Amino acid sequence: MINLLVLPLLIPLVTAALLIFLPKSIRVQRAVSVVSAIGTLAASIVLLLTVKDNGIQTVNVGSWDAPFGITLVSDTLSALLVTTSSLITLSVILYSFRSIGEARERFYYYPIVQFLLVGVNGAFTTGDIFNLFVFFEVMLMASYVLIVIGGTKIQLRESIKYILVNVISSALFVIAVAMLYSVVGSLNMADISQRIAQIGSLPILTVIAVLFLIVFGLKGAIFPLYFWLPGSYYAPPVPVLALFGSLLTKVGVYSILRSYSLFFYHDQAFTHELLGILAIITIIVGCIGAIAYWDVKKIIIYNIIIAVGVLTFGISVATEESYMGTVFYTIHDMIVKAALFLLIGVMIKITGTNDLRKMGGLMKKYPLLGWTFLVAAFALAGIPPLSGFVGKLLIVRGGLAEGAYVGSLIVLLSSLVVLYSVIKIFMNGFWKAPKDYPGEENQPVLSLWAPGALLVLASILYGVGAEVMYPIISQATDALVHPAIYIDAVLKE
Amino acid sequence: MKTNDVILQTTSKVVFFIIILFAIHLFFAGHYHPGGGFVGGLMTSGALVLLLLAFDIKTVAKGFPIDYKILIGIGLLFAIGTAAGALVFNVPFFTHVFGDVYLPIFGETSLHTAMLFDLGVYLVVIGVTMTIIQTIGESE
Amino acid sequence: MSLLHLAIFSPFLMAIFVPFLYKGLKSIHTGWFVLALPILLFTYFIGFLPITRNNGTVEKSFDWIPSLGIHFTAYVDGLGLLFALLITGIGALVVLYSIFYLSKEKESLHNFYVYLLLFMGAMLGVVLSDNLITLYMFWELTSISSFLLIAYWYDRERSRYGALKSMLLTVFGGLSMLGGILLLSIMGDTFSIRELISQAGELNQHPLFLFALILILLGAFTKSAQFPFYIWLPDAMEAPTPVSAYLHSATMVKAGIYLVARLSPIFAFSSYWFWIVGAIGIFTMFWGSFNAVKQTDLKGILAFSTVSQLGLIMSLLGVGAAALHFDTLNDNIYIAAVIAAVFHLINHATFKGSLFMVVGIVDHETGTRDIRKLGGLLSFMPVTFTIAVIGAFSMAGLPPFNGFLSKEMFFTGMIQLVNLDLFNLETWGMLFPILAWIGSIFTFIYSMMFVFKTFSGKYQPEKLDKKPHEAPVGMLISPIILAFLVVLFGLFPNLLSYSLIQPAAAAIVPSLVGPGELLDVHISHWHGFNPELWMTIGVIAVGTLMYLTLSKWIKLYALFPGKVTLNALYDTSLYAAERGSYTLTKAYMNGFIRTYLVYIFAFFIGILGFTMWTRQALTIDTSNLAPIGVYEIVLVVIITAGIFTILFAKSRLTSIIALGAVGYTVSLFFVIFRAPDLALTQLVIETVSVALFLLCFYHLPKLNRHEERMGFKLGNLIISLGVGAVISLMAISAHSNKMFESIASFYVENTYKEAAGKNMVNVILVDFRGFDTLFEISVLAIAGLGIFGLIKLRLAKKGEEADEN
Repeated sequence: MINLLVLPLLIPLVTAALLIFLPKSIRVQRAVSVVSAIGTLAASIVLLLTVKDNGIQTVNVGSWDAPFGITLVSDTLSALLVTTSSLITLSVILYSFRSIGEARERFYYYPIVQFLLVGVNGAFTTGDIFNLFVFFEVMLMASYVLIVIGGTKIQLRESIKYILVNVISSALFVIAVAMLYSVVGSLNMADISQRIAQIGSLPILTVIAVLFLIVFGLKGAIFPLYFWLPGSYYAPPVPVLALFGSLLTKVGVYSILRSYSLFFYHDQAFTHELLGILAIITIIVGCIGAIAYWDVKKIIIYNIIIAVGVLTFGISVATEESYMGTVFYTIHDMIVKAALFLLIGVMIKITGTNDLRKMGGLMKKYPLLGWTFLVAAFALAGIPPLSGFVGKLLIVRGGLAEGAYVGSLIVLLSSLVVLYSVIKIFMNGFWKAPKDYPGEENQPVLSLWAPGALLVLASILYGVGAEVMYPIISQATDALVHPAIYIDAVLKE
Repeated sequence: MKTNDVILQTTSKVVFFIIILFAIHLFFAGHYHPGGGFVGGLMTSGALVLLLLAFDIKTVAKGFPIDYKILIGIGLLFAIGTAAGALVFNVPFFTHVFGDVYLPIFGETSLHTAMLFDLGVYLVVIGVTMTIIQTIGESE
Repeated sequence: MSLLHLAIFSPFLMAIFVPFLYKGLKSIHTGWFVLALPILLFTYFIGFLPITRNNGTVEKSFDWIPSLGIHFTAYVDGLGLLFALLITGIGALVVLYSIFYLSKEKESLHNFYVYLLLFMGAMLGVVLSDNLITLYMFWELTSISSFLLIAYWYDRERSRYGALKSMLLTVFGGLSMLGGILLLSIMGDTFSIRELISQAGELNQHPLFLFALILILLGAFTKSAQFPFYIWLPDAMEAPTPVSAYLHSATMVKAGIYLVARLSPIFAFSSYWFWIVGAIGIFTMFWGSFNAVKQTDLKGILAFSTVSQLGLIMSLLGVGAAALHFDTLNDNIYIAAVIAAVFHLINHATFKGSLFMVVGIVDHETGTRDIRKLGGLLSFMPVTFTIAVIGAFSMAGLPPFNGFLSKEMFFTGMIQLVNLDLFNLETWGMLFPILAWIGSIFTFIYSMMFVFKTFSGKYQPEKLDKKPHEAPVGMLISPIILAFLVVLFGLFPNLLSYSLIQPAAAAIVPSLVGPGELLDVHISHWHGFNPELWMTIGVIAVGTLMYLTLSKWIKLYALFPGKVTLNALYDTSLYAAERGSYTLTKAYMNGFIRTYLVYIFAFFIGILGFTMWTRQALTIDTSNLAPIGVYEIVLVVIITAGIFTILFAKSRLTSIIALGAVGYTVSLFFVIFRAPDLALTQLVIETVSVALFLLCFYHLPKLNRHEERMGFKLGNLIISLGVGAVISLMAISAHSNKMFESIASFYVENTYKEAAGKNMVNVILVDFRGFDTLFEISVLAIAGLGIFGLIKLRLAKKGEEADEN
């Protein structure tokens, strides 16, 4: 099956198209969504295993040879990310059943979620820089809709900001692609890498690299391009927030990782140094935000920014170890962020408020929820043997080995802030004396809890089973460290 | 919006058909001459918009009782279907086939699966434009 | 996986069953089931004594993440075994005690025992791991279980406060330690402690060595409550008393001591190690005892006392480092300090454990721990009183108890330090014995307070909630055992010397012990009238005097302003961090998109401009350009005019028309550049979008041009000019740097040949890059559905909150 790597984007795409016909039959929509999400997950797992055993998979779409047509490339990194995204989407869909509300379900919520997955999986899979833009558009358009659907006041207010910033970044993306094309005359990323390698460092390419950093940084929310994020992510309902928080910024980070390891690596003294500085400031502002609020959503949202900082720091160090850490950490962060959002979603459902000061005492009635949250919180803070540890360990060790002492220590100590911010949720939400909340009896707590718990379980397995993941991640890292592996697979030379 | 301009309405009816025909021409010409599904679709929607401007939304909706959102779905499925056909033959996704076929009325005709894909584009463009225009128009 | 691993993991396994035992067998106190485990483990570890006795070791390993050099290497040597015995032995006694302390009717016993077992397993893991990463993992797990245990009564504000404080400080230390571990692993390319020890010589020369040393000590000092990190320990006393006895005096807080001891062979060659460990230790010893005297809560006294005693052990290890530093000396007197450290470690566990249990009994039977309310309990609780006397006198360093012996050895160590002619000790070294002596006086005072304020003096029934009586037998068993050990070790210290102390000390200074050799650790009661004895006599004399005049000078403590304590520092910095973050975040996250765009674009201009400038990227190459014709100029003028019209338009209609004009002009550009497809598309798009605008026109409010401040407008002007300039310069440079033949020629050649089309644009759209188109129409589809949903679905204001999530 040479088209295996198309499946993780084709399945959701077909599903989305089919669901357009069934806006009124909510049950059918749900069933189709879940079946399709499971299918996507299964396909991506098969893909991951295939890539692991047989090396990088590529398909020249339309049978047009690279670099002339569009080539889809599934290396281990991409397959891993696709698998993770599919898993998260599945959980979010399950969570949505009991929480998103029938009104939104009737207004194409499920097809849009599928479209979002198309965009995300596509962005992870494509080997063509313009096609990457197209998938960004798919993902963004779906996110515009998800952020606004429901039309509550805050959604309308925040979505306009979100759309404005992202439209600007899309315009910059096209400009950046055009400039790059002007210099190297190709759109295929492997070909671009090869061509740039021939000329080595060229001043204008450094500038273009920085422009791409701005474009991807706007999506990935690095300092000082993240201002839109906290407000915009705050607006949509929790399942949407979970999708955004765990997937969208990671697409930005992935794009930085891919471009900065595959072709923009000729002027590291400038580009990667810049990235490193921005990463560290990103961590700091994220930390400042995370401890500032008593609003559960806000706290986790600022944690997104911290994680983006940690990841980009790993990219900026650009050694095998730090790349490996970045990959380890990306997968972890996607899973755990989604889990945390879903779990605080349950808390908000029960208590009817986002405000920690009004919560309390959930432990007595919902111990399962409490422990799941605590495990997720520790995982987020990188407490071993949970999933955040290995990634952070490698990033820090890589940074220290390269002499980036300040950055590495900040990454380490950011864990403390992360821990504090999530433990604050735990202590104020679950501890304290129990309270009664109006309407809590009607909440389907167990079915809301299950998807989050599924992700937490995945995170535990991922952490404890790091050895099982190691060969896969190490393979993913190889292609980052040695662009030739990627290039050879695409251009078949 | 309510308008009651007889001249506008009569002219529109005529012009509508001219535009539609032109749009269909554009669509079919696409592979060899300027045109294609995208422009064709836009042009068709342009024709419909003209009617909307001349008449009110309800009248037009009566004349064309189409749920344009369904049209989006159909168009998408067309486009995806064409692209995904390749999966059946295990050739790379989106590989088109073409050839000269003898058809009863048309005679020797060159057929290309790209046309089917373009048809999908055409339908989606109409569907989307009209969905948007109708929704905005209705919400007065 | 070996039996040894199973032993380490058994508490975790047991923890899984505890909730079921609790729920299933309500009638039996869950503690009884749990008790079996530490007893079993204790006996199991006793079995290792014959091996470690001769400095033998046992090592079992199984892989966790071998690819990263992370293994579960369980390693038993004298030091590890000593701790393992403490953990399981004291653990058994504490569990037994807790059965009577915690009522099975009122308490969530399953939680308590799960946490306790988690801790036990984690602590065993810490002391029996050879791999630093697994050690770190267990280390953090002890912090977490401690956090959960402190907040066991989590509806109490103070419990949560204490839990958070201990967690923040110990995890901070843990993270620093991790940094140190990583540095060590970078220097030595391994996580194995023994492999690192074998490279100690090279590590010492490494430039990162000092950095690693400091980071690791941060971990040790926070965990072992050394100055200035001790502040979490007093607040940890909110935990149930068995927990305080177990974690916060006997075991967990000694993890830092363990770490220092364990890593001494690597670091002790450095004079920094000696200075930092020794000085911090001795100062903590003094500071803790000094502060203990002003406490009114019995547990508070014991908490500060623990701080002080931990400092004592720490300082001994610091002095002991000199033993390694001078490893060429024949008669190495500094080994004595190491031996004293180990001995006192054992002694402290016994007497402090029994004292905590005494406090638990007093609290349990009277309902208070406040010495201002207590007094005269001697007649009600004679057994408890006896235990208290034994424990407290040992703590004060009085003969014939074990504390006396180790305190004497402590003095020896401190005095010998003065003779050391290194590290500039001739000037500052005198401080060590002086602080040791003063600290010991305060230790004596609070020990006496502990006993006599509680058990003698006036009985004040009106201040007590209950009528006091002697504790149930079950509660007395554990403290009696411990008190018995205090006496036993006091009278026959050499029971320990070759079974436990020698192997442990040998593990701390391995390079001084040749194969088959043993250290000389004979402990004797009588050394003649040496300075140490005089110091002890002085302590007793001055201490007694000061205790008797306590009420006269206790007020001096009030002179210390409450606002400059470390606690206040912690509280205010936490509060300030939160407030400050909030204010700061609020200040720049003002919610206005125009502000955000200003930030973003300013950065855009700044960073791209900077890059272009420093990289000299600006290149202008006009060689390959066509001449500019009249049409182009005209069109550009029209576009510019259109744009200015939009900017200054007073009504929306004008804007829309001007926008349309710009669009149509752009399509004319396509005509000039002979791109009919694009021109056509652009024309139709303009038409449809103008129509759309007109449709929306009815819905939009009247155009309202904010009269902004001139400065704001000017700023915007500069920024927009800047963005335009940067983009243009970049575009020109990119154009002037065409380095390769582009792939476009392929399309020209193959449009007909391979794709059977004649219109290249269309063929690119549906074939070469049809994949893009497929997803672009998906984008359209999403937009269509989205706008439909946006306009049709308005969730009511009511229920908005609920629907948010």
